[in-house]
Parts: sequence; structure tokens; C-alpha cells
Amino acid sequence: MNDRLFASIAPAVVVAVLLVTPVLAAAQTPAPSARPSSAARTPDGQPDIQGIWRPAVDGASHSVEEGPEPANAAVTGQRDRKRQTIIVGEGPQPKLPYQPWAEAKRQEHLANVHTPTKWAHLEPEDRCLLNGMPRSNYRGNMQILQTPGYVTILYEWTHAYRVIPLDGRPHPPSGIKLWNGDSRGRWEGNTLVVDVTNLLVDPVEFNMQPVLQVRRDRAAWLAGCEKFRTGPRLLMTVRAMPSAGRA
Amino acid sequence: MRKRLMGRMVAAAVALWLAPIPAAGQALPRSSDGKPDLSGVWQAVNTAAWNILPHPAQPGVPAGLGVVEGNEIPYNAAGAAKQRENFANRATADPESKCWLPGVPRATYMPFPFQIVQTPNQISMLYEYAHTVRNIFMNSPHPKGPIEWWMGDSRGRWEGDTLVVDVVHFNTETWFDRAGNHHSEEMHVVERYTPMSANYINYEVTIEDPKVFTRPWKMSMPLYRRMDRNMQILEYECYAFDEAFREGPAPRP
Repeated sequence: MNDRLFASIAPAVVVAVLLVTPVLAAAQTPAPSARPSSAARTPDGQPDIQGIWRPAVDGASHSVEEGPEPANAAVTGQRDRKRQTIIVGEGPQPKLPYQPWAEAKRQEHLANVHTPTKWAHLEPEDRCLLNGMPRSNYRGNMQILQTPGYVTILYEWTHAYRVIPLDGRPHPPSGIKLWNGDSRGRWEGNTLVVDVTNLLVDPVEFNMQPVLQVRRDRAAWLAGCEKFRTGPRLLMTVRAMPSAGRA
Repeated sequence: MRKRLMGRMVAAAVALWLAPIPAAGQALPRSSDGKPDLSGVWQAVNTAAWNILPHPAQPGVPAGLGVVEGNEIPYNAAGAAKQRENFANRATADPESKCWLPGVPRATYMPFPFQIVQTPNQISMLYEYAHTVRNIFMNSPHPKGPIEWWMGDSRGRWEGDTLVVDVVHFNTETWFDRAGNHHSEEMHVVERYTPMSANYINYEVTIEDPKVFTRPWKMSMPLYRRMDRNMQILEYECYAFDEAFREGPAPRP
């Protein structure tokens, strides 16, 4: 089962693009300016992206394919396809490239979430579980801290966090499975590239809820590569890579 | 006159001897602003998570010397009665049994590591247990209450090489340990983190809560740097385990 989940997005690569804009810097944020530029650097030479950020589209967590919930869209004016800031794949109606068995599993989740009979039928967010990657990145406010050799992201939602070492240390052993995965980062010019592995998949013994989708906003982000690019906004690109096999 | 002076000198010498003094000859790592750099992964190694007072061993519970100075918690009568009630009901009454946040200072000595991320204006403490977070905002005032937060509101400042953290705005839900030791929403905590070397911190906590205790009291313990190769904090996603043992039907959304 685990192997098939890993393979469910092979060989296609899915790209999600999210615009993240800063809120007004509060007194306690570490960076003096709310608008990072390529000239601003931390003491250890990283481009300075510290501060409080939020996704440009609230409620994007509803569906990566369709954008915010219709009720929200009417208020925020996000109905127009062009204004959606999460784009999956290419073409006018991009969809996640599920294999047939995985699409069937997704439909099963969609049915269960509306008529749950078990805890596992509820979507993980409603069970106060971690949102995983990349959903954590478009689920409300976050604060980025930078210290020598690290980028740390503090998420407001369920007080989650990610510590991203930049020193090239190896990922932990494959037997370690983490809801938010394990992150390793490096700077390529003004772009922070983060490699995420060790994602928790289908912890059958605890809740039978695979990372793979609930509602319409999930994908099997089993090994993701994120890129943060500095500028007046942070542009985050996520690619889900097909796994070589069971991690 | 001479006796009094001698007495004062002896007292001063004793005070110096008792005060935590960093090991001679070891330079502390320092951050870019000259303060001791407490960044890294730390953990307490004691039995305070079970019981902050001295206790013998029980099945599954190691014996402990205790971390409370004077080995006594100065409860008032109602506070002492509540602690006994908590202890009797601890299997279900302990907030830890419900995966609730551990509060301060219990988060520090849960049997899990935590990571300190230190910047000049904000020091964040990331606890592996239930991904608990505390943000210590430096040199700034508490927001006005009444506020009741699980982890309180933390404001820090440096006194020499000691990080002093003032914490208020607690709720009534958290305990100090698994033995039912408790507090009210009026609790005021002052923590002192004094690095004694590059690899251990002397952690002292003063608790005052006029609703529950007859006077302030103190606990103290070393915090040790986790020296494991490639050490990192992992996850203890408490709610996921919680569900596995929950009984009853799922709630309607």
C-alpha cells in the first residue's frame, strides 16, 4: 500500500504556486523592515526573509484545484479563475494527476468526510492534527526566523513549526515518519530551496488516515521541493517528486 | 563591629559560593549581539515530569530527588486539598492525558527534547511534545489582561549572561507534573536560564500564585544540551495517539 501511494503521482510532476504577502510587521518581529530585498542579509549571509507572512488567498486550503470555498470566494472576489493563487498543473482546469486507484481513494474520502462513522473519516485538520506539507504553508499566518545555519518557520495554525537546517546534514533514517516531514534547505542565490522527505503516510495503526487527500485539497506530497524567492513577496513553488520506491 | 563585618564577609562569600558560576576557562558561544547563544536542542534529565517533589519508585515511575527547593510546595489549605483530589483522579484529570498543552514550566521538563531558536528580539522555544511553542519577546511589556493562555505570555531580558523570562496570563488547566501539582490563572512565573558551560544551563523557576500558595517557591534543575550526532527534534503528535484509544462514535461535523 505504501509503495503504491508513493508511486501515485509518478511520472508527472505537479507544480503549485502560492503568493505569500507580508502582513504589517508587529513590534515584536525580528526584522526591522517588512519588505525584504535582495540587499538585506542576516549576520550569517542569508537573504533576510524574516517576518510575519500569510498566503495571499485565505481559505485556499479548501482546494488546491478550485481555490477557496465558494462562500468565501463571493466575499473575497476570488471566483475568477485567473485570480486563484494556487495553480496545480497546466491548462484551464488543472487537476492532480492521480492514478485510477488513487482517484478512487480520493472519492472514498470525499464520501466519508460528509457522512463520517469513524474518527478517521474526518479531515485531519478537524481532528487537530498537523496539516503536513505543503498545506501548512497556505493555512494562515506564519513567522519566519533566521539564525546561523537555520531557517525556522512558526505556523500560527495549531502552533506547528518547521526547523530547516542549511548545513547539508542528512535526512533522518527512513524509518522516521513525520507529519510535517523532514526539511533540509539551501540557498541558491535569492531562492531558498527546501527538500522535504520522511513524510508520514498511512499510519494505519493509529488512525488509518493517509496523507493523501481529504475533501478536494490534498495531494500525495511525498517528497516535495519548495522554493522561496525573495522580493516584495515570497513566491513559493512546490514540486512533488515521484519517489524511487518505499522510503 | 569587627564581628559584624566578618559576618557580612562570610555571608557574601557563602552567597558567591552558592550562586551559579560558569565553569572557568570555557568560553560560552555568543550570538551576534554579544549575548550567550542558547540555540540548540536541550533536555532535562530528571523525574520532575512525574513528580516535582522527592518521591520513591513506583511501577513505571523512577525514584526522584525532586526539583523543589526546600522539598515543599507551600499550598494553602484549599490548594493542598485540590492537589490530593488531582492526584487521586490523575489518570483522567491530568491535562497530559488529554494531550492538552503542558504549560510553563512543565513544558521544560517533559521527557522530550526542545529547541531554542534565538534572535535578538525574539527567542522561540520549540518543544517536541505536541509541537508546543513559546515565543519569548524581548524587552517588551506584557499585553494587558485579563488573558488566559495555556502557555502564558513570555517577556524576556538579559541580566548579564542570564536570560530572565517573566510569564503571566495563564489559564487554570495546566499542572506542574503528573502528581496533580497545580496553580490558578493568577500564577506568575519567573524563569532564569544561566548557561554554565557551552553544554548545560542552570534553569531556575520562581512560582508565585496568591490564590493557591502562601508564599513564592522555587524549583531548579540543569538542562543538558543533546549531544547526539545529527540531533534534531522530531514529533510527538499526541492527538493522533489519542484517537486510537478514544471510545464512542465520531462527532457529527
